[in-house]
Amino acid sequence: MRLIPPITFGTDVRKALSGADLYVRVFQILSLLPVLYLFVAAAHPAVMTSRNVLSALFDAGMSTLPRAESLLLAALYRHTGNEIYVYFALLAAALLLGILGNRLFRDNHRSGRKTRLVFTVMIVADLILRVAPFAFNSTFGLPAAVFGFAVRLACLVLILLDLRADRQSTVIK
Amino acid sequence: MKDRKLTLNGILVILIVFSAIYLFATITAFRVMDPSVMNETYPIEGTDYSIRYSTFEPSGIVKGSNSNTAELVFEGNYGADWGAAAEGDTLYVNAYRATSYGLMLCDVVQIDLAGRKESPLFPNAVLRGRCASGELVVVSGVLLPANYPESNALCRLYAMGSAGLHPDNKESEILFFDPSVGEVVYRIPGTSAFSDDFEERYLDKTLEEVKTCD
Repeated sequence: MRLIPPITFGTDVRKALSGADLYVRVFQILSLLPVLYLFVAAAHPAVMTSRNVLSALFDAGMSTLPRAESLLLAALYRHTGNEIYVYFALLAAALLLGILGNRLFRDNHRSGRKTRLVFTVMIVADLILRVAPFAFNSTFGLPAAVFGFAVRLACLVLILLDLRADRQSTVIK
Repeated sequence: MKDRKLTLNGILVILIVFSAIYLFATITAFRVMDPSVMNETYPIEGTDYSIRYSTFEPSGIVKGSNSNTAELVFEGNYGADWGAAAEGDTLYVNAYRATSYGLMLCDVVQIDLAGRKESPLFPNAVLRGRCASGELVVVSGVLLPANYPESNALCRLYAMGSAGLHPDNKESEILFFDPSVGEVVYRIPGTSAFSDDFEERYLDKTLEEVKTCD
């Protein structure tokens, strides 16, 4: 008997992507934006001395992450003084969400619904945190903050559409 | 033969593995190839102690100002370029920390030379020297200008969520610290942490004069 279920790295793309799946993918792709800056800056420190496309991507990526995650990353950076930890923490968080998403949304109808509800609550809490007058909300500039808010709001709409479709299918059954 | 598709999770796993090799190799290579060679000693006002920066010997606080004969008292990466002060057996200096990408961070620390003990006084702050009446002038809540904090994305990440630290040095505060009492006796919230006239405005005046002008 297998105690640990196998980890699925892949998703069958022939199945239609639900809103929640899209949310996971959007989150994963946007998590890669700050990684690009950190990757290039390791070999070319001059990237850090001026505003450029990479730093704009960094700002956009950091602003689209859940605010709690970016605050945790900042705390990790201040505590360790090591950018490489931040780099791998970003990738690990994206991978973890991808694996969890595949498992929770695919395996079981009930667990998928619960996960969507949890995600909805988390995104709503994140959106409220974003509009609150905290200094950290303006760290990456207004355009990045607006972009981050819009992306997360879009994710919320996608998941709500998922939940509505889920409820309708349950009613029909 | 199985038909495997490269998915986003798969790409992330590959990225983690390959970038681990790249990043560790790059950072190590940069440290190995660091071309800067230095051996300099800066005396600390009113004492026979100096701060030594050296690539040949351990850097830190040394007794004596001759780089060849000076005796190392306290090892560390300290700075006297913005200011350092002594009060009895206690030294007040800037302590530098470098991140792995080379960002320099600065804290004000006090060093008990008799007990050979370092204790942090103000994190993310720069000691600029003494004012005319003897109080130490410290600028707190700042990132060093050499890091290009206004354009550096990593400085913004570092400052995010930190109380009283802003990448544009907007939250900086000028503190007048009385070393004999061990307390901050006056504060000026301001943005002039590294201005050209800082010396004239704060260091050349007594605390009372600063209060009057403020």
